[in-house]
Amino acid sequence: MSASTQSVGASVKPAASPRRPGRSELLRRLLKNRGATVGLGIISVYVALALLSHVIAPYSPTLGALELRLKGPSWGHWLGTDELGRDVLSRLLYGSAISLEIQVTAVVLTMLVGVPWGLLAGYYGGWFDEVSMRLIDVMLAFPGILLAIGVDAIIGGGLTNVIFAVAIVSVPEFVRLVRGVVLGIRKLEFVVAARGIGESAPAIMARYILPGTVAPIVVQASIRMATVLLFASSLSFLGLGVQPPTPDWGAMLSNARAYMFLAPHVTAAPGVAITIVVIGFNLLGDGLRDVLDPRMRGS
Amino acid sequence: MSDSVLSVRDLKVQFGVDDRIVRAVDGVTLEIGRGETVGLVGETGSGKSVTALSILGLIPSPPGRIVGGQVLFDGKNLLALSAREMRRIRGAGISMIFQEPMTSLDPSFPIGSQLREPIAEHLGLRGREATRVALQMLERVRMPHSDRVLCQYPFELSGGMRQRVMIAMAISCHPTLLIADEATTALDVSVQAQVLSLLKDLQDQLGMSILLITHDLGVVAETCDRVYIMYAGRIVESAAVDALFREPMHPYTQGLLAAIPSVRGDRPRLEAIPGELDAAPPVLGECPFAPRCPRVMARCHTEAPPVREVKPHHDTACFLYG
Amino acid sequence: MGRYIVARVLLLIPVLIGVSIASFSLLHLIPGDPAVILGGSQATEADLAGIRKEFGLTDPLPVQYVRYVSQALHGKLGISIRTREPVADSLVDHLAFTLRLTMLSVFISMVVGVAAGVAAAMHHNSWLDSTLMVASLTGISMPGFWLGLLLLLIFAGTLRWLPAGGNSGWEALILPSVVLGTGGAAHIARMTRASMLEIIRQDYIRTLRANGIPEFLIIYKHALRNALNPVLTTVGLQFGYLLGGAVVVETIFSLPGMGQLLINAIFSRDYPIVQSGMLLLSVTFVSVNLLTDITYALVNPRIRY
Repeated sequence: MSASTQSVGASVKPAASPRRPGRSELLRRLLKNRGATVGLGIISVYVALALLSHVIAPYSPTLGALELRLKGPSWGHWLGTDELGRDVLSRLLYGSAISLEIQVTAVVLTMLVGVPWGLLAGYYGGWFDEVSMRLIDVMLAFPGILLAIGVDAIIGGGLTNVIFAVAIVSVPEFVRLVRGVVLGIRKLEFVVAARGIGESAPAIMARYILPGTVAPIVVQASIRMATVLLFASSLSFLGLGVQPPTPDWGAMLSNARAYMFLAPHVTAAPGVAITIVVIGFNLLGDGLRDVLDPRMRGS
Repeated sequence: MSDSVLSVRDLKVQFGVDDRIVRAVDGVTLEIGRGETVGLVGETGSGKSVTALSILGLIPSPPGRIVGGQVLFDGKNLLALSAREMRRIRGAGISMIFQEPMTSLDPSFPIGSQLREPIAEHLGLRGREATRVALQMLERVRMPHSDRVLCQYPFELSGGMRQRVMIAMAISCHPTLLIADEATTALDVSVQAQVLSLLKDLQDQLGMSILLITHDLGVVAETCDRVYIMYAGRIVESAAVDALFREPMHPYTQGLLAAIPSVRGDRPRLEAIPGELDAAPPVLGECPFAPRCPRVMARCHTEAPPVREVKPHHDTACFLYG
Repeated sequence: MGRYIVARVLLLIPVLIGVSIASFSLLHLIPGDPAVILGGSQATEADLAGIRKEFGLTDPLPVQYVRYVSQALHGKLGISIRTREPVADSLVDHLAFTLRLTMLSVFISMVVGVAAGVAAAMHHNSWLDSTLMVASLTGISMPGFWLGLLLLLIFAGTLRWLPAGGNSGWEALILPSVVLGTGGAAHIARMTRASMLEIIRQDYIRTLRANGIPEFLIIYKHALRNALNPVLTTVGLQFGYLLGGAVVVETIFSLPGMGQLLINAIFSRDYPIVQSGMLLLSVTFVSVNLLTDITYALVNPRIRY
């Protein structure tokens, strides 16, 4: 039917603080969302495999038997062996632990920096906000992967530096997101009222503004996990990231390249793994967005 | 009844919501004569908009479904027409204007372009011919600076002006019937008066009939010849406007009239109709107003009263009258 | 309109300054003495002194920065450590190639993406919709370099239809632009679909129907036009995303673009190339964004007010 028509004696709706559904309600809605459930499933399997990789990997990821080089999938080696005779499956499993470590660390770092920054910039405004936004603009003037390459070029390769590079690259979008949400909430009547009563700024931020940022942050975090994995594996693929013999998925693909035509199976496995994990996080992110706030059209 | 332009007979429209079916329109019958202004009055949820949208076949088809009745226009049952035939009637035979002028125009095209579309579609005119007609229509709706407006975008116009554009689009192909669905509800009172008077003048000039859907009895009093009162998907009373105001028969109508504050100040207390029209489907075999009716009788809970002519040209659906 | 352009350009200036500072700092942020970095590990003290004088490394940083910027504006983008030759020409050539690849990829991704998004929206909840959405999800989740490898394997390896890379003719652009275009198209398809679904529900669509306008005009003239607005705002970002992707994909197909140049330079520690390469890439990106914004404002008069 057409948009709401007023009934005789319509009442005026008071401006209220947003009602947030309880946590169990949210979980229920999330699980009803098919995409999110599949995503959660994928992620759970991934995390489990990563955490248990040391236990369940059949072979060492770094020791190889040269006489077994580049063999296809077999009963002994489900995914075959690579150019140094190492078991691909084991390397894949250990690689999942590395990927998870990179993802979690990078996203946590990003949020630790980005969320407070965005919060302060959005709440206080003024010169701090202006300068922050210019700085963010400069960082965003480099396309993502290029910035990561650049940062990596400066600080060098290796696992830790990859994490830093990817985290730095992810900060600008978080800051912008949080700042945007804060700007929106700050204008709402209940915040203005709280300031009028004289509540202190930290209290206002903690009690009124921060809760409203949780939903977009959670969605963005999930999607960032996906992006981080893609960036990190790109860096490793280019040789700028994790160094051999560490079994990072991107590095595995880089090694496999030389023998690509001879042993295509080595090219398939890490790529499929990355794709599936990224799909999982994207699905979760989409599902979270649908459930937490269908009105949220993120940029 | 002289020369009937539109005849709705026992229209039934349902909306399927999850496992529940809502009978939004439950057997509505109404007639509109040539050159008449007919009001359709009811509160939110009474089904008046759904009735109007059904006439033009604009009900979104999941979740809505027309499940019975006929809509006779120009000798044809609109509900039985093909999509293409129906399209030819929309905008040309029957036009409709809506409640929200602010969002009812495409923001990406200038006014002139949007006006020319139905003109091209129904009258087959293009280019300068079409522009000329568009300009004429803008002048008919008394749009100031009509030549400039043609090149402007909707966001450059106020709500009242956008509503005039909508009216211009609606009359551009000389419809026989214009349906106005709460067309003035979203406007300021002064603009509302202007738009209503414009509609009346257009009616005189073009000889068109108007179906005015509203919740506002004041608007009805000013502009309509006859009026239907709707409640919970059914017609509960219909009469000429004077007759209705002089002698409302159905308790719901009486309640509506009693709720109007009086300018003369001789009514110390506003009387509201107790209770609420709720979303639960009224029980079949019961008068839908029974739960709230101040004059309810036992019979009202066991049978649904049919619409009957109680006085000449004054119908109502109530057991108080037999 | 003019005022809008001026405002946007003015906003650009601090960004460009920031970008130039960032690339200038590259050399000085790297751990180690810039003279040693430039001279290489074999340089003697005498060599180092000469380098310091030649590059003015003893001057205070702000002075060095100004010199850097003015040189850049004159087209002098530094001298390669390895070849001891000016990098400007080589940079421009490589950049031109990468730009061609990126433009082609943007074009492909927009055409395919919009078509897929509209199809999915119009057949909402059908098998076509589900298939397209699964495909797009996979498209944005696949690492570009992996897709590149796969396609290389299939087309150059097994089927031997296309060259494995190397030359810079247009046929060398096909595979890489398909790779990049896929990721871009997937992204755009999702956006377009979401946008169309929202637009279809708008009041003005109902007005158009009520006026008897034919359905295909409603969809392809009105709905699409409005649905593309948010998509168009991201063309600039798409370009950046694909520019970055191009750099990675070029290394797979051994193409003579910025990717090869940059990565080789990083590994051989040829920092002047890295510096100026980054500078050029980001200036390009920023300019394209500006053009996109201006075009968008031209098409959408509301933004200018």
